[in-house]
Amino acid sequence: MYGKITLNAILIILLSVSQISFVSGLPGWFADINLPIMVLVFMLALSGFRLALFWSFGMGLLLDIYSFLPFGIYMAVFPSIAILINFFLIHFFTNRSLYSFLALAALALLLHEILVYSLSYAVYFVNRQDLNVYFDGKFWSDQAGVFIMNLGAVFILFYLFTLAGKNLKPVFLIRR
Amino acid sequence: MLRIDKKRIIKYGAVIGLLVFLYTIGLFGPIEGFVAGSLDPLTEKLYSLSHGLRTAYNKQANKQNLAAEIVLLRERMNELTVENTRIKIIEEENKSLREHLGFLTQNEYKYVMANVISRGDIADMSGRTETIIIDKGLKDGIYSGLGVVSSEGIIVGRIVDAKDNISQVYLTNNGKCKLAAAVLSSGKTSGVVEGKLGLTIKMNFIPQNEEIKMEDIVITSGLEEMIPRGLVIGRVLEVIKESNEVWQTAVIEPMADPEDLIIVSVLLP
Repeated sequence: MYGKITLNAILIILLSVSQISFVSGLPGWFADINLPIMVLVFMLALSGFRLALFWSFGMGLLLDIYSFLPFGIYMAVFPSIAILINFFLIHFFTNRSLYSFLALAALALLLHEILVYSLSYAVYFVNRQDLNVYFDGKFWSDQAGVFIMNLGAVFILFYLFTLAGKNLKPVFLIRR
Repeated sequence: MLRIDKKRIIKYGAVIGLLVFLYTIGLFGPIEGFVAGSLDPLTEKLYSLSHGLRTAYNKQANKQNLAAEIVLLRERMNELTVENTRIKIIEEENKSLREHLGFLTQNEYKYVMANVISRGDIADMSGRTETIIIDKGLKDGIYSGLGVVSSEGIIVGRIVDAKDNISQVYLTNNGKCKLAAAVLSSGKTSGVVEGKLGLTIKMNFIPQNEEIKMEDIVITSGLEEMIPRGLVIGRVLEVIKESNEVWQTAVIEPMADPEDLIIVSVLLP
């Protein structure tokens, strides 16, 4: 059991540090990739809620250490996303098709943005500070880029997983 | 199953609450510093790797040979501009007859070198080219407001927030980074520079009667306590002068490429 926890902790550290240092330095839209969200969605579908919740907590803790947003934002956001996406997975997107994964990933990204900004605003408001984020054209076009890039990455990952195993269903669900 | 999950969620919630409480009262600092310090070598290597990829990608996109030649010429030109600026400032200071007891004119700064370990605020995808995180912090004498320069001595930004082992830097093309600046011409025009859309810099509050022209060099004016005078910011690209406005504005091209930062220096007062 402790070996499993240690292995998961090491993988969480590697993933979080890769997001912080490697992905952020990539050129162009590649830096928009949100690895923790993508891993969370696949983990919920393939490994179950318990492991995904542990990962969400670990990733949130590491991102909070390196982030200059109020401490605790990511530790609150990632487990919340895990809980909400798990709810959608169980009640709505029950099959494991590509469409389900794309929908869940889009929902997860949307929840991530809403929760991070809302919680940050709330904490800054209580502390009587300013969080200067301008919701202008550049902001929305950048957000669109984030969604496109991450959904594209989910698309590619999905097909890599289908090559590796039979846990996921193909794109089109054929009615017989 | 739902009951077990609820219990698990409540446990995680309690742990998160405890960690936030420990952070608030300052007890989490050593753990945070230990984690950030331990992961330093890994973050440096990963960032260097992605920087290499980004450089290669940019070279390909910009037609390698031409880009390399332009980079070489620009580096040489930047070195010469910085040197020329330094010489002009020394000449001015020599002329003005400083007779303060024990005061010497010098350009030796105290500084802390740091590696860039991340770009952008993790939450703010749109600020990727405008913010960097470095691997030095409060323990190294760094605090908010200090200037950050590139290896060529060009100012690239200022420290906006610092933890024990890491600091956040707003680059000069960040709209939230404001510097008191002066134009290195006979008029020594002063104004305030701030970033614009992550691409360029604008110098505002230039009096209408001041003459500035394209290719003029813009430097830090020294009016701010923590930013010394004479650090090169960029060169004037365009002057926007409306007769019905109180101030004129200049568009500045930053001399340091914000995409090309791996090692920076934080100037200590």
